[in-house]
Amino acid sequence: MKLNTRLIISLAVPILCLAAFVVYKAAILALGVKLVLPVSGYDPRDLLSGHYLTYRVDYNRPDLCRDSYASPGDRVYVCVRQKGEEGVESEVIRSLHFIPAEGCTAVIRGVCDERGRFTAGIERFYIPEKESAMLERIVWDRKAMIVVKVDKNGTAVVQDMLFDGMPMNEFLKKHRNEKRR
Amino acid sequence: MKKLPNLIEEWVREGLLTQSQHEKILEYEKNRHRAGKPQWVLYGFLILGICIVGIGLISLIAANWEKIPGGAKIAADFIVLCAVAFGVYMLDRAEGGWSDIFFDALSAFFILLCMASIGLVSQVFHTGGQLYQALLFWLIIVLPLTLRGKKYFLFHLWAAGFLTMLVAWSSADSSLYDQRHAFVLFFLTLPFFLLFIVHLLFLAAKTGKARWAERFGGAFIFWLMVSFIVMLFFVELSFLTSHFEADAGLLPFIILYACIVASLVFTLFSSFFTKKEKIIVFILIAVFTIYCLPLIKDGEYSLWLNSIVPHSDSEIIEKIAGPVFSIPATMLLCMLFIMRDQRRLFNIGMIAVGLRFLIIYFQVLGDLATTALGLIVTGAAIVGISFLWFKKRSTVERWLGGLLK
Repeated sequence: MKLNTRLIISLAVPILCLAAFVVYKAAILALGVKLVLPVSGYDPRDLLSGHYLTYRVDYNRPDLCRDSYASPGDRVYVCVRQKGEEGVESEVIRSLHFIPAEGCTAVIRGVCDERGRFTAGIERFYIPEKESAMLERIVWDRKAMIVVKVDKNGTAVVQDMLFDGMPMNEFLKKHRNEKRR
Repeated sequence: MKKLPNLIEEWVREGLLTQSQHEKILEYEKNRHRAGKPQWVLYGFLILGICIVGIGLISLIAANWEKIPGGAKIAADFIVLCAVAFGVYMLDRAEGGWSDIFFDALSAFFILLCMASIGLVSQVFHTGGQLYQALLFWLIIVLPLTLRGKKYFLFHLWAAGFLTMLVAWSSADSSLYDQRHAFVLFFLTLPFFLLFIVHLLFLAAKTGKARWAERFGGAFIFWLMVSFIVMLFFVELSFLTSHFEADAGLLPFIILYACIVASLVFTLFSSFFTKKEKIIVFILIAVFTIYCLPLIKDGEYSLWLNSIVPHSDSEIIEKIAGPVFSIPATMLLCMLFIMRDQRRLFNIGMIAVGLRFLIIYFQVLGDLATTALGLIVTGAAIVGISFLWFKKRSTVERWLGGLLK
């Protein structure tokens, strides 16, 4: 029986591309440098877009894009120094190419958008639909943080979100138990 | 089919066909319908079912089952993907009348499953990014399978996905576009961009090496016509409320005019349109360009008008400018539909014209009595023109033919 090679390739391409995407993200989570970054809500109040929370990462530098003189769409690198579990200090390294900076816990790569906000692809966290309102409130109360892993090229991936210092699943479990009592 | 026996009887009476030819034709048509209809109906229902299941899967993933670990969800997803891929491969080898239909249906399911998988991976790894980026990735990875489609649905699915991606891109935050104008500019550009793509696809089909190009071209023509109607009405309506300003930037206009020029050049040299059809396409492009010039030059109609006729009533002109452009343009488009024997699109176009007339009266005339009077007069004019057209059609066509020679 003759194999239909073209059809096999056509079917394999999507599976392999998706697998490569998964492996790439999983590798960053496994090998990347860990950072814990505080997050906050922003106006317009649109934290809940579907089944995920959108938020602003607090790099402890309010005018990060203005300080870097970046135009919308420009690539920006931010040197983040982890100060204990909750605090961070950041410094802008604006360059066309990645420069490993000394004294940084990790360097995050991102872009400045039209509104002058630095985004690094870590501003979204998927949550269970039923608990969305409660989790949104915690973000607004500034009691939420994200755990990210950053690879050596500056790509960051969100590993988990901490609510009141607890990972989401643990927090939800505790919350449900309290509700039952 | 209902009219065919009557027609054939008439041809027999006129001596154009013999009695035996009459019987043979009827027998052939009966068999053809018997064989074709169930296939067509099955194809329709299968595709509908597959699409509903596919969308259901995407919603199931979106529900975010936090009790199932991410790794397990991804592993299960890949197992299902591989199983469906194997099914598609086996159906390609299967023989029998309906295997092509089942192949297309399962391929469509696989393509939708790929979309659901992108959603799942995004959810497990909390990826940021825009909708158009996810759609673009999906379109690229499923393109090879789409090209192997045996009937038309996979090509339509891809073309619809491509348009959705463009819409999502134009409305997303992007350094390429000023967001306020992006949507309007996008719809202005889209028909010409699609016309350019259609020409390219039919050019590829003419070489005889790309069998898929003709089917893809067919799907894109359908979406081109739909987008043209959408562009004519919804965009000109939003022009009235969204005035262009200098900060719209030059790039969108450069893209727009590059697409127009490309579609003009291809229309001129392509054999896809007949000579008559080419003239209509050129007139359409000219009408469109004239309509857009004041907007591009001054940002709005009132400024342009005041530079020509000082102290003119800009409010009325702004309300009239849109329909003055869109109604004749749609009528021209409907002529093109008639020439290409696309009756459904012709009907959609005519309904759109009727609706636009209704909107003008509500916009321009204040009270209901005046609106009603205006509508009656317009309706009567349309009936009269249509009657004249059908009565004098051959004379007009002869005259047009003389012009084209």
